[in-house]
Amino acid sequence: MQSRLLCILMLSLLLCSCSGSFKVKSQVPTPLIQPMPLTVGTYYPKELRQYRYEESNEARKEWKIEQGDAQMQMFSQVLAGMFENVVDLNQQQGAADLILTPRVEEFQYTVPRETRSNIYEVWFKYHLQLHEGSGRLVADWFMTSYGKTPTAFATSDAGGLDLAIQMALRDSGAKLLMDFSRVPEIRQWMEQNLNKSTLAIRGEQP
Amino acid sequence: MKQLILPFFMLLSGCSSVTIDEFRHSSASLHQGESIVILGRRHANNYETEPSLINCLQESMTKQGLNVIPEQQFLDEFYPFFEPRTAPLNLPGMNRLQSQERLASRMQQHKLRYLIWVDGNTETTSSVGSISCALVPGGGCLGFGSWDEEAGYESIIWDLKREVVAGRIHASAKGTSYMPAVVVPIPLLAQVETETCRGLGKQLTEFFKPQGETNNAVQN
Repeated sequence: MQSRLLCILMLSLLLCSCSGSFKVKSQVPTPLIQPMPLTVGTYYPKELRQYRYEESNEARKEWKIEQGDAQMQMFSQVLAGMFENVVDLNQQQGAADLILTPRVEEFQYTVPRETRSNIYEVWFKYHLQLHEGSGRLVADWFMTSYGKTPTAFATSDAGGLDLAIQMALRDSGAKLLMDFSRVPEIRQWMEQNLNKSTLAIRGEQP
Repeated sequence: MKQLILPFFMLLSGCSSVTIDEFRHSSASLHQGESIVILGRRHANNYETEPSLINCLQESMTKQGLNVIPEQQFLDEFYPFFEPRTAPLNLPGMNRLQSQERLASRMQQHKLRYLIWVDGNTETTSSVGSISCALVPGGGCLGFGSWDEEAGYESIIWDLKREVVAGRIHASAKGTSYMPAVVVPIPLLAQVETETCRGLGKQLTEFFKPQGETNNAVQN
């Protein structure tokens, strides 16, 4: 009886270790930057709102990672700090100066046993589009972000990946905040539509 | 008998040693209300300074009466300026950052005077031995293992008011941990990170005690 119970326990442990699922929560803080005097619309397409990573590689654990809410929270938090007014829209045109449409183009990760390092790592590649309220495309660019855990010690795979994803989300927000006005097409648009004093307040050299 | 148990377990630890080198460029002292922040460097791909070490240093210096802002609180309050890929790598970069109105105002709010960057990590350099365990009722482990750990941390102290590097402190530590296993494995761990924190924390606290003024400040 005792050995049967032990077998059942070991079998359940083996089954548990082959699959895993969790939902990521974004913990990106409020940015400390001067907001631009613009009304920006956010259009979150279905593929971002319901973004879920499902592992297809048979050699890896069957991960199902829900990230849609966390991605939207991160963009909303960051954009609310970047611009004076932010409105949610359900299409790529509407009553806003600019409309941002983000999509997760690619998600990659590594766990310690694959790299023989002591860290979990995560990469995101975003496809970002910026339209004017009229629907005219202003900029279309890609942005990458990276997150890693300080150590894998005393961390489960799910805990390690969750933390690495949160670090990558934080990096995505920082990247968007710091690099937004460095995208040449956006820079050109800003120079044409924002006055010099606004750019100077933000530390941008017109 | 009970009185002997605690000292016995305290003795059950590996051995470690710490070396500290200090290079002081200029005097450093804190005025009433001024604060310090200690941040770990995390921009390298292959390692990152452990948040646990930074927290330990912050607690150690706070206990000595210094006003040290916790790292995570600082990173959140100053987001996105001190993230792994956005943090300034040198003092001129930091000085440029201070032209950001909101950032400068938040620094003023905290009366932030010194920023200490700690760069380095603790890693296992070699390990020998083996332990085998039997996962059956009545089974156990048998064997012996040992591993060496090395730590190296470079701290650089930026004086944000005078816009100079106030000093640098290097801490290195080594230690060997052992794990004999007869039925139950008994880890005898070398507290390399803890010892480094103790040594570096003490030296950093000393650094902010008032001393004679020198004028050999440098800017990197």
